[in-house]
Amino acid sequence: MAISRRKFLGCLTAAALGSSAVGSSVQAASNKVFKGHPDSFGVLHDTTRCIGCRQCEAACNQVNQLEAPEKPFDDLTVLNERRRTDEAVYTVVNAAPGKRFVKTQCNHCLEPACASACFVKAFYKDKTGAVVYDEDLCVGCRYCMVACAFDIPAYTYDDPLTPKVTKCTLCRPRILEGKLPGCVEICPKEALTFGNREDLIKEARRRMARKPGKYVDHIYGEKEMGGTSWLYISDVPFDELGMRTDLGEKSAPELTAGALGAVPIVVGLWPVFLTGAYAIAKRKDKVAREEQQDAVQSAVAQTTEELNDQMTKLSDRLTKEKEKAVAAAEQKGRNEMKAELEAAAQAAEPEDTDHDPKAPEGPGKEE
Amino acid sequence: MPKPRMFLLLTTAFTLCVASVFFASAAVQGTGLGTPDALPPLSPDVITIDLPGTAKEMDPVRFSHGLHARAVEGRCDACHVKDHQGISFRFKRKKNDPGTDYKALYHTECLACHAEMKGSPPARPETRAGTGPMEAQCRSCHNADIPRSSALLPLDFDRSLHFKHESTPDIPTSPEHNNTNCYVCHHQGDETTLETAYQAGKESACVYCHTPQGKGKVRNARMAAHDSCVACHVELKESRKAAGPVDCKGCHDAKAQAQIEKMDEIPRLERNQPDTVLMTGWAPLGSDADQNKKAVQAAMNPVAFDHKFHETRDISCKTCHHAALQDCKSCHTVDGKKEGNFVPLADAMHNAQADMSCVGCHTQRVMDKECIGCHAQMPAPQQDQNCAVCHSVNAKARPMADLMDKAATEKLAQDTISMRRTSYAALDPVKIPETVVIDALEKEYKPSVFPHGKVVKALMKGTENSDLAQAFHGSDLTLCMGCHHNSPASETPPQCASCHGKTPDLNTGKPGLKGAYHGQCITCHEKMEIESLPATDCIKCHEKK
Repeated sequence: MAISRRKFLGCLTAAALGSSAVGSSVQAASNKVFKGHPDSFGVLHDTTRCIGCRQCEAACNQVNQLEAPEKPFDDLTVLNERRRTDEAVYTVVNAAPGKRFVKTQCNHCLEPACASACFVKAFYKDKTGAVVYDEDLCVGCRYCMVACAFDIPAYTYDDPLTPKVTKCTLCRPRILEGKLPGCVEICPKEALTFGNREDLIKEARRRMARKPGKYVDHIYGEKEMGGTSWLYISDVPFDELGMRTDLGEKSAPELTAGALGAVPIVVGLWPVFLTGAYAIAKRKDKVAREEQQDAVQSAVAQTTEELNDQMTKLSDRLTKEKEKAVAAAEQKGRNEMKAELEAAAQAAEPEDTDHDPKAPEGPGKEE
Repeated sequence: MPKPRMFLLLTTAFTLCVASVFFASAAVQGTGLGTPDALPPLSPDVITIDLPGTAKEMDPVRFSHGLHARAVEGRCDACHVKDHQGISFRFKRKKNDPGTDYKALYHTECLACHAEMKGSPPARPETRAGTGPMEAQCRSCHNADIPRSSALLPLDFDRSLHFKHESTPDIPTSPEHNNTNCYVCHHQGDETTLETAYQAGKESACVYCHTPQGKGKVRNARMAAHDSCVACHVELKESRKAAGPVDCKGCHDAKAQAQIEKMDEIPRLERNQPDTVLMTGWAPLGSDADQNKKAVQAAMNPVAFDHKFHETRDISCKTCHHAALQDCKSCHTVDGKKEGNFVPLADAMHNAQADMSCVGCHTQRVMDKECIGCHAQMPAPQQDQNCAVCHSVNAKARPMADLMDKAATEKLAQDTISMRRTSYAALDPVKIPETVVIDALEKEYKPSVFPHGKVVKALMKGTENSDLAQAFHGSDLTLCMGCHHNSPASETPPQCASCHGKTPDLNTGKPGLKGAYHGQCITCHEKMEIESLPATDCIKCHEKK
């Protein structure tokens, strides 16, 4: 008999829980928070400056050599509806109430959810600050698209042979050449400021201090999802700009590391677990079989013994009864004989009443 | 299949029948007053009846005062108690007694009236269809889903309105009170006995005592205003005199407020106030000459404040004197004290976020369309920048006699003010270039030909009637600094590119050249609401190559 499915899953869960508990206690003990690569770059998006001209979209399209959109970039009617990034559009500008606009693209998280969800390491956080995608490693599982809290990565579904995930690259190639990202360079209002992420946070705070009451006292992206390289400041609450405000300050890997960290352990110990589980189950079976055999044997022995006992008792009883019956029959025969003899004697000597009882006993004592 | 079709037909016929009956009954109800359903969802005459001390099982009632006033043909005493003292605008009671069972009072009185209106024979046949909900129709009144809420606009009893009341023959003057009618409204009250009496020269704003929430036994501002103003209007109306509004809308509706006539020539309100004040930063001087000298030496230069001039602005006494008609320093001492909520004198005068402080009020004023174009882009007022514009009295150089008594300080202030120039000479137009070609960033677009002269003239026109600008700008060169900022005022300011580099400077927060140009121009256009130059219409300023 083999291990049951239920038992096997139970073993796996126990192992996963055990290893994740180890993971979280290790995290709890550390005070290390990853604040991004030192001197990595980012972009500060001051939404109060954005006029919704879509020049950034045009520049992005040109820099990344993407296909031309259906409507030209100077057609501002597209702002009437909410758009999102797709495989040919790495950035979009959306309008918000009160003539406000906000640009959306990959936020280049300090600890990217896409990278942590990717099991072939096709994403990594580069020292420039960019979250870089390597299409040579990608297996096309699109877990990154599910993992991203900002709904950014897109997939070239219409390319059947070499599909890939697409998203903003922070213009890493341009940064390495010493140029500004395309969108930042084109922005006429300097609503996008490129620089060292730490400097950008200082700059954001400076703008808030320069105009007390103008900005919401929050830098979006400073701490959201563990921090992002893109930072936003606004004069209205960020949810009014259509941005998610429910993300919390923990990075996605921090939230999922425990469970995901258990995966390699489980996978690594797979043969050991299986063999162990198999051996235990096997041994149990063997022991059980032996015990069963013993039990059967002892039961059989016991039964035989009991039977023997009973047979003996029965034969004894039968013997006794036989003897008894024989004795009784003898007695009866003797009595009858005696009676006959007496009757015969009375018939022969009717006056001899004082008859010697011992006289006819002779043949009665024969055995 | 005929069956489903038959079913459909029958259903439709039934629906139509029900609908027609419903609409017919609605039409019947619609006669006379109009149904509550026909009321506008937003109206100034909606009163939320949310009684104190009652269990909040039911939604508060949003009561349409206008509808009910029409139903009782404007007879206030149908709902409000009227006696020899006048009328009290609480519902069916003179004042709030702690023991009152409000729930019972409202239910009894409201439902009784509704029943009476509906009664047989109806009390008033012409409106019988319009009567309100009856007993057990709880949700007809207590219903949060009824789209009805108050659009009440507080009435600004401004100087014009004040003067109207002061000068109307319908409010009689009294020879006893120096032939004024102030005594009709203004009074001094005793907070414990609640007795009131007029005292000439002590008139103040109502809200000092009748605070918005009410203070102890003193009625809150709303009750006090209604009991006084509306009661007086009702009384005057009954005697067929010209009277102010007696319905909610008359005072609290935007349209009605716009129709209130503005008086042109409003004489100064006399209340023993000074014409000029020397606002000093030292505690009241005593008899010790050395101490006095030390105090004056240690303090900031005083401000010569033109009190009389500020009275002519679009503000009332309580804009600045927010808690009492007293000298600022009586509560806001140099160090701050409890009476002044521990706000020290300097903060009280300079808090940019407070409406009643000097800087706060002036900051509000630069939000005007004419000013905001430049001012929106300047950092928040820095107190250390232009102190001397206000703090111009060099007290340290004055003989102590000038600073000792009230008359002397007022005279010093008066002299200082009279020395101020009232306007400044405009810039010589010759020195203002008519156009400036901006080509520093020429790339995809042709150079922009900036109509410099036109812009300067527009700014000059916008500021020429602003007393604030005249007082604080100093000269037209200040106007230049709206754009040519941060460098010393000059007729030949440096080019933008001499400070603004290609990219923003994150050490100082200085924008790059492109950001500086577009930021300056577009922000100004947006703030000044110049619709002809939308921010995204690039070719309006520079043609595409």
